[in-house]
Amino acid sequence: MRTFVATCLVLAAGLAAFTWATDGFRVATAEGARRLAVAEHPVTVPDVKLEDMDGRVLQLSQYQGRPLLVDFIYTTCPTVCQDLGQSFGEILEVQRKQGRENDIALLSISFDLENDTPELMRHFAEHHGADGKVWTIARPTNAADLQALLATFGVKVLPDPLVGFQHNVAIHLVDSQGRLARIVDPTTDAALAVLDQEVDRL
Amino acid sequence: MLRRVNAPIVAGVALWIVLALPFVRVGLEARLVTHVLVQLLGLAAAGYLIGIGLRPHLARAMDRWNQYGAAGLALVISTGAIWMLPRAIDASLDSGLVASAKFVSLPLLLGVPLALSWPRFGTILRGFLKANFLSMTIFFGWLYIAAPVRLCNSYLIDDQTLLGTAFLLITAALSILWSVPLFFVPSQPNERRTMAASKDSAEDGTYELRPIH
Repeated sequence: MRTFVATCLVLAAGLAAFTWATDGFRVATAEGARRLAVAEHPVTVPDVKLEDMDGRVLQLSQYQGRPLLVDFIYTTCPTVCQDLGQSFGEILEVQRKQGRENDIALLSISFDLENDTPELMRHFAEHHGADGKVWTIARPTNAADLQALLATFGVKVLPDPLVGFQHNVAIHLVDSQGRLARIVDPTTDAALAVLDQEVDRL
Repeated sequence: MLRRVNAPIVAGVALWIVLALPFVRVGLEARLVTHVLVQLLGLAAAGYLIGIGLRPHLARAMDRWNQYGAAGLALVISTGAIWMLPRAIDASLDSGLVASAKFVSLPLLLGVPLALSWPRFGTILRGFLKANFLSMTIFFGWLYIAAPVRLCNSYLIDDQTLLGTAFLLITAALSILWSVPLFFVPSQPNERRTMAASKDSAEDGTYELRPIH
């Protein structure tokens, strides 16, 4: 009898702990957890200074008032960042076709402050069709701002001896009030879906 | 009261302390494969050793509260399930609180109860747990090798593949270790009984179970 009671108590506590650890059986990975967290509680992004591909300095808060899609890249990345660039190119194309390219903005932020000069960012921009108006490539102006951005967006950048870096890849939606509101898979369709939702909401 | 030095407890506590030393911790957590297979398993092993040392002292309490090891098994499965989440591995690197929880829960809530409960499990339950452990390690091995995305944000994808390969090797090693001895055990009495019964039914068409003397 005592064993039965003890077993039931342990199972109840174990189930409660597991439910808590998976946000109610919804996430098993840190990546899933950060996506769920911002979808439920949008986070205000820090208003940092960025230097863009033409060497101009801009404030992140400038984008407030329209939905903004953000991705994190380094321009010498051989693989996923180029895919991200292609997705952003396709998203821009779709927005132009729908005639609403002025209602939204795209921003690719480089985390490779050491190597990604405006020249390299411009090269990346030309390759993928970033026009510098709707879609801008930019980098934070100092390491502290970069860390603040990465922490808020939940992006982890690890040095990789072979290709430079590995980082969790996603497309981030910053809503018109400057809050990180959604994080989705880095595909054109997933990004368009949350962008449409956000535009419709306004 | 412990009158003499309790060797398993001393060994367990020593292992626990070594794994918690800052330079050991940093070294093991640098790679996913050592984080999981050396640190996490080591912490559980430290608890298991302590549990072995505690067995004689807790026998009466275990008879009352942990008959057949049921409560202990529930605790081991609950704790194990949480530390199998990739999210928990990541969180133990980013949060001091989760890191402390790791160093306390794996020895005390997994290793110790496993050592206290294992001798109380019946043969069938032991076999069931071993078989399930193997299917779990082969699943994790395959998942970590095949997953196209990183399951832990803190580790490189190569690390994940390496851990998957290690899981498959462990599955292979344990399968051999656990199954080969079965070929060298004499047949069980009930097995002979079944054979005798089938022989009878073949002869006269009736099925009757007769014990063999």
